[in-house]
Amino acid sequence: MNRKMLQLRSGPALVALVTTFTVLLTGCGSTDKSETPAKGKFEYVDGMVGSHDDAGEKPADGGTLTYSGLTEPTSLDPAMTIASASTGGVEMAAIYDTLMRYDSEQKVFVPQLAKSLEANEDQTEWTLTLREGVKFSDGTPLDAAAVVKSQQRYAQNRSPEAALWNGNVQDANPRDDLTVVYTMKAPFAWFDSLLSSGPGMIVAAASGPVGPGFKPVGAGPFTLKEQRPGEELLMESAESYWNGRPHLDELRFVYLGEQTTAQDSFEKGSIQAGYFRDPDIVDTLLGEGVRGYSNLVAISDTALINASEGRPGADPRVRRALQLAIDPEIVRNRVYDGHGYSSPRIFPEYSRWYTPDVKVLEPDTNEAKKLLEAAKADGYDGKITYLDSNTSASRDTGQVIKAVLESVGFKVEIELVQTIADLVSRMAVERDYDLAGWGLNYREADPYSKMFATLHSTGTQTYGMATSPEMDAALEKLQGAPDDATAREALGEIQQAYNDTVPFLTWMPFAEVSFWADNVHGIKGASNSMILFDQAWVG
Amino acid sequence: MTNQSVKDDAGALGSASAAPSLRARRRAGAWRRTRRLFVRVAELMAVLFLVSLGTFALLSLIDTDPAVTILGEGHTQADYEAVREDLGLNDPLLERYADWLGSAAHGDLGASIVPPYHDVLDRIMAALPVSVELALLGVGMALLFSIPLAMWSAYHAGGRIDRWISAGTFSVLSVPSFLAGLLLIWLLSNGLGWFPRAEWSRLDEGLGANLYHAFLPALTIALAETALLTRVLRSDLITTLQEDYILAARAKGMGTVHIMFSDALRPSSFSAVTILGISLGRLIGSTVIVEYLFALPGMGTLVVGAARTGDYVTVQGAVLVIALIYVATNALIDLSYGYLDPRVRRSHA
Repeated sequence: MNRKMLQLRSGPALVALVTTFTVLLTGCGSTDKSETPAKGKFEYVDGMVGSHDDAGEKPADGGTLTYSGLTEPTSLDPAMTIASASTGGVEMAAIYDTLMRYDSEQKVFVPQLAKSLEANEDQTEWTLTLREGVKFSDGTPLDAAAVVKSQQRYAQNRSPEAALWNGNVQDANPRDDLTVVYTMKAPFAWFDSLLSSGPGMIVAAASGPVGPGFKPVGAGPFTLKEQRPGEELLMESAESYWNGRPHLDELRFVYLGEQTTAQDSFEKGSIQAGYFRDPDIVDTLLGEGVRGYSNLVAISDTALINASEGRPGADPRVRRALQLAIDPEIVRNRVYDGHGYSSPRIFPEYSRWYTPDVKVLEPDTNEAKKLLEAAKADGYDGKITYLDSNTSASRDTGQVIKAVLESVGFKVEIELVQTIADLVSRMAVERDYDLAGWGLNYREADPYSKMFATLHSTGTQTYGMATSPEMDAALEKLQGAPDDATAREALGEIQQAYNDTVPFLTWMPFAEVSFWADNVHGIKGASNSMILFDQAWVG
Repeated sequence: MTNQSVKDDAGALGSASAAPSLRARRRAGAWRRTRRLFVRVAELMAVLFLVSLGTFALLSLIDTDPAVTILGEGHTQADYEAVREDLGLNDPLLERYADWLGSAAHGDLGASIVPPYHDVLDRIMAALPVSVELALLGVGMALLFSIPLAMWSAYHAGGRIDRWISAGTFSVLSVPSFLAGLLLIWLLSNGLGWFPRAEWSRLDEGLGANLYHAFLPALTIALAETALLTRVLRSDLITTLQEDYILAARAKGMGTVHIMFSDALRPSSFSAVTILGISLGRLIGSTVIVEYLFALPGMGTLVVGAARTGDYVTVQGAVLVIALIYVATNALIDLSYGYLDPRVRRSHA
């Protein structure tokens, strides 16, 4: 074969070869783990992150701020949608505002739309005072009657926190046009938190009933201009907002699917702010010193154990063996490439609820094997099924759980369902699972609400998890805790009750962070990782 | 009576005893065309009926419970059951299908059964332009790239450039669209920063912004289509270039460009046009991966999103519209054969 022929024939082959190699290399590529930060490299904080020194800067009026949300809210009705940053809470807070707001610096709830909220000594009666002259965007007054009516609408429908409301609030009565008095069924220390969430988002009478035909009419800083499902949600500033017209002309929400897509768009400047919780992206943006508002959410990544009769988890030895078999650090390294934070403790070291005096269930495979053997000796076959949704992280988590549990003698099957709705059906509605990947989301601002719903024997979200009188007692103590010290004490008892009953598996909290660009100012943090744009501006 | 009338009458009289007159032939032709049209419409209706029935049956197999989508977690069994009852999900499947079909036959595709309860037709009319534009741009780009490539390749069949083009098209065909999209994003968006990473800009926001946002996803679609069209067109062109009339054209001294475009391309386009039609119809409903990669609000996103929430009414309506476009596009492609090759027209006549 002469030289020319060789060139002629090898050229096209080279194209195919290069393409094939590119495909293979891309497909087989992996993250460079030398860049992976070690645990604790970032100081995970609950509150503002990055530099926020805006002192002396004069707010600029006008412009549009584009925020990328995690998932598009199916409804903008607080009676339908959970008021949390990941589910549409930021959008709803822009339309309705919230009566109270969590101040992450002071670690207390402060008035936002409300003027004040006072509790009596034993926290059985709370008095809400409203600001004068506040109007909904349709011009009707936001007075005590409107607040009570909106909250009745919330409590009487199948709203996300209706059970918590109905379980604690005896009645709500307007004392005068600007005052509402709430009587509790028992001492309730977390009522201010409830008013910073769904029940604190007051909808106007013009919004109509829950369901088809609902119109989002609130007294927040923005009004809904246009909703293009799957594309964007556009809001414009409300001229009649109680605290003056917001600086921004428009607020735009987009939903970009994968978190990496939002990250790329954020770094290219197509969006000015966005919500992130994938540990690798959060670590990257924290590492770059990007400004934002971070909420640390305990038991964000977990597996619930079904302790119902006939399930493997009905045996407390099996539940304990499951937790002892799992090293949270393995999950963090294998599933999240070493990003994020891992701990076998419900509230780890970063938390204001950290209780170092209470021991936790540290990984102990020998003890796990012994407990499992004892259960097997009593007839358990060692089989257990791990149920999760079919996402990349869930698949990885399933594989890790399978590997570590099988190393101590379990026989694990992984079952993946297509959607989160399918997972909820199987786990929460039918309770047809052994182990199920889930997030319980205990928040720094208010650990009580979700803990009561998921761990108390009368909670509405226990889904077959084990409960105990000790856990119930600790939760009831937390319910009426008058101060942080008492709350911390109760949470220590909850950790102890957890160690004894192991209702779920503990491995990772997540940081939920809304990051924003350097030229964005004035964003305020709120509850449930939400942020408020009433004073936001773009420089 | 005019001379023409006399001629026609004579022709008519003659036709009774001998060959059919021109008018009779025209009538017969019109009748055949009308009958073909009726048959075509009947086929279309049958296809749509079968597609809607099949979709409904398949959707009934999906476990996703709209009641869970509506209520979320933390409610009692009775709450979920009450929502299912309200939505009519406990009714027999055929009864639900008949209800839906009755409304659809009157042009009413209903409203989404999950929040925000939008009208299905409104959702489709918002998503369809995105998918149609992407498909048209993708196929347009593919034509723009593939025709010169195929011509060059066919004209120099077996030569160096032909082999380069062949290797290139085979390589592109072997790359799945999600990977092609990711590579384009990596290179043209994240790397060179020439195009946005995601989002959509509608035509009413300006043509420039629209094309700026549509270019990368359309290019992702175009790559695979280009490769396929180039392969098919090249093959047909090589056959056509061996025909006697091409030899005659060359002998008359006609230029290569004239021969390729005027004499060779049209009769060589049968397979390519067929593929084009199938692609166009297919792309409108199946650019899910591209829409997902670029976060675009097209029909794929609409159908997948609705299926994930158990919103069977939206899925059903969207699939019906996609099927309608698919069938209509292919009917138009069938008609185009007559233009491409007069022999087809004559055979029908």
